[in-house]
Amino acid sequence: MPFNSFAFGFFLLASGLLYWLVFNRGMRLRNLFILVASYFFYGSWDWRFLFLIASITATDYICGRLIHKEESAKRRKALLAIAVVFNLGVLFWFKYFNFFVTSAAAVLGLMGLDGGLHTLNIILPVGISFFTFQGLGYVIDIYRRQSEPVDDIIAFSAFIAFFPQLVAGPIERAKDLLSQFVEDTDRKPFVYDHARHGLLLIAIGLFKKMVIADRLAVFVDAAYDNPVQGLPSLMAAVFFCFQLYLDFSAYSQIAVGTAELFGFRLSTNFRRPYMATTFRDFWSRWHITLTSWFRDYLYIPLGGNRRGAGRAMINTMIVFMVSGIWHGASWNFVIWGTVNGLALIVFDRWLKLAPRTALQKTVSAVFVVSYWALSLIFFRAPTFDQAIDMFGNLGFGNAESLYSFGLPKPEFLFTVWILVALLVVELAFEIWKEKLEQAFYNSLWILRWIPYVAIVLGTVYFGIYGNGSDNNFIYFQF
Amino acid sequence: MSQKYRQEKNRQAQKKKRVRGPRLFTKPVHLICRLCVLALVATAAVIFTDRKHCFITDQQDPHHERRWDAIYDLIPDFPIDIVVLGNSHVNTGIDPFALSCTLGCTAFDLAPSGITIADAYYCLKEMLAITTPRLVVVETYLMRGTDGPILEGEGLADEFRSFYPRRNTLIKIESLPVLFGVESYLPAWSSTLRNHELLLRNREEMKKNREMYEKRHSQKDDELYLGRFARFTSGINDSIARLYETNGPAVDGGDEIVSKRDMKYARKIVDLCRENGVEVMFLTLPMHEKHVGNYELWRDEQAKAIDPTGAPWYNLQMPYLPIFDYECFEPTYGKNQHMTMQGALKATYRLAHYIVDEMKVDLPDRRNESAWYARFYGKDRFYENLPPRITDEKVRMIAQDAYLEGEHIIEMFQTDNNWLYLKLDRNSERRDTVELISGVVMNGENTIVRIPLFLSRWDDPIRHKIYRSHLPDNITVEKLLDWY
Repeated sequence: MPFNSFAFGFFLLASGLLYWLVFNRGMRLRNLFILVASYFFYGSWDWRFLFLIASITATDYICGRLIHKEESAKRRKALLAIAVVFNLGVLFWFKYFNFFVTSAAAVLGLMGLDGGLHTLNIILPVGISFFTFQGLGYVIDIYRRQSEPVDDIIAFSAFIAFFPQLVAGPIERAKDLLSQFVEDTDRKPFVYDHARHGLLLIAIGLFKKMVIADRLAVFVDAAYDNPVQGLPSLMAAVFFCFQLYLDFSAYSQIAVGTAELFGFRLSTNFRRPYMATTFRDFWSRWHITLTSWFRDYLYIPLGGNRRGAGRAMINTMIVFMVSGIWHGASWNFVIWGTVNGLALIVFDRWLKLAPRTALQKTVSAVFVVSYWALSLIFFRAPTFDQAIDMFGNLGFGNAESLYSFGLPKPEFLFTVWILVALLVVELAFEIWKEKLEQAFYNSLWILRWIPYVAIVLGTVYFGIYGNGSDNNFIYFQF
Repeated sequence: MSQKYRQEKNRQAQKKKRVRGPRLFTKPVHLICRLCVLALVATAAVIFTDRKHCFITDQQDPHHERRWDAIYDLIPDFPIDIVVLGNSHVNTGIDPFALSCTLGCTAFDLAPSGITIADAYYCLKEMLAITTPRLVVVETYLMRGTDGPILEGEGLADEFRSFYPRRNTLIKIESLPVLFGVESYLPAWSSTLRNHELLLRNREEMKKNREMYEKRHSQKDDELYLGRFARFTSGINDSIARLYETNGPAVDGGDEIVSKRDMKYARKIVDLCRENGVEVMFLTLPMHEKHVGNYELWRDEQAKAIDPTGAPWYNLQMPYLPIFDYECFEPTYGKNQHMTMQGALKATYRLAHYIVDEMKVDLPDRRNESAWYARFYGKDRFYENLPPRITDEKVRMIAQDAYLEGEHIIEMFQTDNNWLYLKLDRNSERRDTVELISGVVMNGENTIVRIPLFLSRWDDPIRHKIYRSHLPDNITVEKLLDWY
């Protein structure tokens, strides 16, 4: 039941109405309803994995409570280790087992050995990387005495399985989201402005996903399936850079918007990353909740930048490589992470990239995004060899074949213009966000309704959906 | 000064804010109302573009729309007596004109291409809501082994095309979860939602679709439409025949299954007919015998659905009739082999004989109903089955209800396109050829010639035998003198 499906629309409508009109009669009842709805949502992919999410929930809940009660540092550490091993073990089994087996077999093969290693036919549960990290963060926070465990298993289960952010984040912290599940009020107040804002986010997210990202995907998929030297490959690299951003930020917006409809606030995951002028700036705007998770639970425990510049660089590289492999069980992702870690170290830390004037900032922003777009070739290409071929294909020739990659000329031009418009809007929001938002919400109703209607009709008439379209969100696979 | 100015401005701003007063509409129901307004705007836009018909991509093949137009236009004053329920195998394989003319009642192919038996059930249900035929014939190729709604591809597109022009909203809603996955619920109702990609991909096609629709609807459609879609004129050719020899049959009956859903809806169709007092039978239209291997296995599967219903089953695939030769089938080695127009005629007349001889259905005889006769007059297979009017300028009646050498001649006439027809009683002992000695006008001069007439290979009417021959342009037959 992906967010861009009619099924989700029906589900959201039904669950939203039931939540506010029937189940808003006490915290436990609300949480129970959220839990059931979330399990129904997750079970619509594969009901067998409900046992998986339930077991992770139970482990983290029990370990959290035991760690909190335990005084002995040794035992606390042991309990933490159990939680970490269980969460990462589950992740390893489902996501990385085959990767490590094939890698080990390749290494043994290089040494002329046959280890008799075999891969297994394992289905990757949707969103496993996200909910294991969320559960892990909760236990680590308790271990660090930065937060307290909850008694209410229903609230905790709803926190882990909360359907808007279950399958692709944002990865929430207990202090931010779990606290909202344990607000003990009889009737949760319906905040009209929040709900309206949530709906607007959902509409914008669907527009970005269905009208732009999925259209870019048509070109990118065709160009990667039938590589051609020259401009088509270059456009595929540029288009994928925007596809990934629009796809994932659209998902995050719909997640945040959906949560707001139920009266919850989720963290912002993207803050106009393609307006970043340095690599550090970029990573403070891109997939913010994952970046901050790695910062708090990996980079800082490794020593952060407290042990000198050299160690900080090594730590940065470790974080980026782990982040790479977090995205997918393939060496391409490791390379992608490494390449981006190197950029941060070389350009930001070593060369001290720090643009000041508007022109410097513009040039720097173009450089950062271009570097990022090229690095994404490793992210998108199915194999290392295909990625290298893609790099070899980049150029400006073969312009005449540009319209033979799934987008005929009018559609291609529409896509380019809408990307330009998107960048203009992002730039405007970068500069005048507060003013624009205030002006919008304080304007006459008719002026507010024009963009509402435009977004809805734009999605209906220009969205890619319907017969035969299979446009899952990219981050669902992680 | 500037501080004072700022304070004053703040005060004015505060005042302005206060003037706006408390917001009135802040409850969930208000949000829902606003959402409904937005949904209404979107729905109105979609209905508007649907009505422009520019997103209906099958304008060149508008049978889906014409089928229901015809049913709703015909039925108030023109009852349908026989419904042949099926998919493309029926609309190419049963000629409703031949069936109607030979039985003297109205037959209709309710056969949208590509549909499954579940869809056929709802099509029939919609039809039975407005009329009660005497007989429903269910073609067995509807049972295609599907276990649930078709979720993608051409199969889904066929279900959309069949669903969209149906008019009974309640039955459409009832059928929605049976025929479609949730993702198709809304697109099923709107051509805009299905084909809006034309906006950016093919504006020319949109324009053409609209023009074709408008052209079709601006002309009054006097044509009698009975659901036929005869689109194959040439039979199996040498290259296909060679494939049968080298590769064997294209279809292995052992691979064909009948699903529980097929069984369920076969039963539901039979029950629906019986509830409405309608007789029901199953029919299997043939593919060429060399096209299907191990048919007996497939037949056993089909029997699982048909036998429990107790309805009769007329199977033209087995035992296979030699009349179904190469000319009867579409030249394809694909899985789906349809019948040609010639094959359709042969199958149709076989069905007509089965209905009369085996089913003994109490069908009305509408040949004497002036409205019915007028509606069918001159249409395809009319002259082969029914008597022309004496006043018909297109026909020269040469003999009618006459006797020659003690044998009854029902009719003998020549049409304006120079076909000479001779109708004899069914029990006539004459074989494949009749040689006539006729007085004719040839090149303006009276003379006597021998004219061979052949028993029609395709037409096998219920009530008579028909012989015919195509004459040269310069001959007009005046009278029949003798025959051999």
